[in-house]
Amino acid sequence: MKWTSVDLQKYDQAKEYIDTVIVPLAPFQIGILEASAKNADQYDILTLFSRELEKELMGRIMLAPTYTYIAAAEKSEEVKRLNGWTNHFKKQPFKQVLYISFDPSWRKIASDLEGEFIWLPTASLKDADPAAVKGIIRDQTMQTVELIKSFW
Amino acid sequence: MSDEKRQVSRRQFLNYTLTGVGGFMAAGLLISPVRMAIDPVLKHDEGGDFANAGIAIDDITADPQRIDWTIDQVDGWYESEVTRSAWVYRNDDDEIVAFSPICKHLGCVVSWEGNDDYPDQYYCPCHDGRYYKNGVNVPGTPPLQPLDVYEQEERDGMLFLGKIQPHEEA
Repeated sequence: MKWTSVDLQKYDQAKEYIDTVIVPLAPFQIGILEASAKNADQYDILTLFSRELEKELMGRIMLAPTYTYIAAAEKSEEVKRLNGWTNHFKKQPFKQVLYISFDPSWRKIASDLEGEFIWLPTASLKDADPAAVKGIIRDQTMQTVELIKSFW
Repeated sequence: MSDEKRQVSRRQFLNYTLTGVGGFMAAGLLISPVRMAIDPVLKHDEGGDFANAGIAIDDITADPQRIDWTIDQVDGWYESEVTRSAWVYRNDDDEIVAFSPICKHLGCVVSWEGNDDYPDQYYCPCHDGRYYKNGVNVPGTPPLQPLDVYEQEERDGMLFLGKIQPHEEA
């Protein structure tokens, strides 16, 4: 399910079946060109990828809006805010809150997070042709699906 | 002779002209609503809804295989490419069947033999929904309806799939 009015209606009628929230975490910045452009590309890929993931498992997961933060921000502050999100979800009640991100810096403080952190290796899609992109995204989706299943 | 010449009187001439012009105006006013009213009859069914699924008829076996293809979806003025998927196989009567992989419970994607405990069945990872090889839901699992079926057609030895329809039997 996505965070849209149509899906929220479906969610309301099937609450007992949808027990997992997926929150994509994406850093952003507007500054040094190279780093900013990289963040922007990754943001796109993460969006694409989380949509695929949602399509595959829509009957059991709710895809939350992407959590964005300034790339250089102090992570301990972000953890507090993110845990606020997680508590909000768990009140629903959702049993599992999973974060997905390409940003490896969460790893260090993952134990402070109240949900499970899943780090995804970055797939560089910049120069690939559309058919190849589809294949790469699909592969990564299926592998992540397997990983998510292990939480259930 | 003069009587012959005056066969069309001024009054008649004016009558004819007015009727003619009035007729044209009425026709002009009526033509668009009439065209609109009979439009559904004129619309031809082009069968353009079928798309090449990218698999040759001869390559379809008794084992279900997953195929993915893309269709151009036009939504108003917005055209986009949409990926569709299906599980196709040849059933016992040698007919080709293409199932939509969308679970009838809450819409997850099912896969053939997706769980080692249930060989020869479609399996939905979300809530352990299962379907037999013929698409019928296994009683006692969450789905309450069989998997939907694609309309299909053979063109030049390739499989073309169209609209998704509810499963007929069962």
